[in-house]
Amino acid sequence: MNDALITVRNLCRRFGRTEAVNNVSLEVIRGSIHGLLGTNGAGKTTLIRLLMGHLYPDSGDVLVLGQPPRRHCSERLRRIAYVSDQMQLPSRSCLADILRLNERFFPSWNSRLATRLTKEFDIDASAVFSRLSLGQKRRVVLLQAICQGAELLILDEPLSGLDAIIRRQCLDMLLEATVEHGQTIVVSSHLLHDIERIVDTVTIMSAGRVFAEGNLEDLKRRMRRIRIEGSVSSDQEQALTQFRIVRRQMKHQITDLIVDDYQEATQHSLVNTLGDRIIVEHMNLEDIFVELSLKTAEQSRKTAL
Amino acid sequence: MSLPLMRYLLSAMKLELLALSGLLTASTLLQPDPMTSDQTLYYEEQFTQFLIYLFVVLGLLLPVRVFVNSVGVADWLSSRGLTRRQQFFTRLATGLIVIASSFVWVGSLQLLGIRQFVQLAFESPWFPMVRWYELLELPAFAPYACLPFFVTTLVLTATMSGQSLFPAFRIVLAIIASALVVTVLSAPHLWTWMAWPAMALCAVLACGLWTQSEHHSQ
Repeated sequence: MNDALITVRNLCRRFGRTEAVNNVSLEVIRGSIHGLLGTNGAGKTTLIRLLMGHLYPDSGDVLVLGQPPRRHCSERLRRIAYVSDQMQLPSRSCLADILRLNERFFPSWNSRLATRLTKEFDIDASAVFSRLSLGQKRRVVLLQAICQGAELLILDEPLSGLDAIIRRQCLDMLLEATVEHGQTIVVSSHLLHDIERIVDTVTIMSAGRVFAEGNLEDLKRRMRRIRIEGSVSSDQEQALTQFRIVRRQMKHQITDLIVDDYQEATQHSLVNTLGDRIIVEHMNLEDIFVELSLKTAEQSRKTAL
Repeated sequence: MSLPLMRYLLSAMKLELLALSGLLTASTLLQPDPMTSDQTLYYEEQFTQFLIYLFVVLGLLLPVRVFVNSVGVADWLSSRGLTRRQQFFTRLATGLIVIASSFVWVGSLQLLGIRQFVQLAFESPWFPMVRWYELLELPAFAPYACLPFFVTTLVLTATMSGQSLFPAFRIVLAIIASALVVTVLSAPHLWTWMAWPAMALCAVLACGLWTQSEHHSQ
């Protein structure tokens, strides 16, 4: 049985001459947290709006909860919670009003959780939304998405503009949503350090294209920075051909190689060939993202020439 | 249709509704001259009444309040588990309920004789009892509020469809809509056969535009 809540195949969407989403394919499995990563203008928001059915694709297929988003009936729509980067709640309403209103909109609204989270966030339920701070507003928006009782949460830049403590609080809230309530989350962000803590799978985008995707642990396991002191002889160069090199850079007599098919077993052969002049470093999500982005940018420049 | 959305829309414009009820009350109670029985036949006479202009302005402004939200709130409303069709009909119904309520409000002021009571206090030439023909003016006013409401709704939905429509088509639509309002308002004798079908057409077109277009930031 296919357990994908979201299936996207060869999706394209243009705005005039700009290809906002170009041949994107991805799958989001039930119960996972999927990160959509990319620089500003990478196409994350357009992809999310296509998933929500707010935009039509030019070509390709989108299935959310097994159906194209535009065909969703209200029961199916209630199973999806959405937070956009610019989402605001009615400015004249207070949190208590908003929670009451949500209770009417969503039969599966979890009022007990909402009460608990309101206390944890230390937000005055009688305060008017427009008077809350940015951090409080974002927490309220996230709170109502989680308490909606939806199967799928689609969150577009939910952490932008928040300080580290509030970001941590929000991330914990999302983790709890997945672990305790079995919710599936698609979250876009450019705050990679934060996102790395919670995501299971990632899709990394640039200029509307996907240039890396898959399980984050797999990605981190197979990508390494190999640092070699001094120049590399032709024999040693031969030994390095066993790796798929993403990027190569020489600076201050140090050669940096980013490889994306590293295996622990090959480390011995590297040491044999290059002696103790090599250091193999693990890469975090931010390193991976930067290196892959630079590679894509270089490729685009070459293609343009 | 969604009752929570309707309740939200109504609560979001409670200040405007309060102002509207104040204006309706003032223009109904302070009507200087009493109607005569033959006045109901002549629409030109009705045009002198402030109440008609109030209904026209209500019809023109109401769709803006009902169908347009700020970007952030539009995103919020679009994620409340409602289909585009449900959102459209709920908003349309909310507007019509406001119009109907304002007619009921004015009607009840007239029917209960409050107008006579106020006017006689100022020694105006009003008969102390409510006369049957005084109540007939209100149904005749209905198209003055409803037609601008439907036409503005159509123009708004066409404008909000944004990139989904060719600019030329939007301009043509706006011209047709404006022509409709001007024609009907300047030739009220045509109402009987023209206004209601025109409203139905506007509603159908607006529904199609709203449900088929992309959601930008209504």
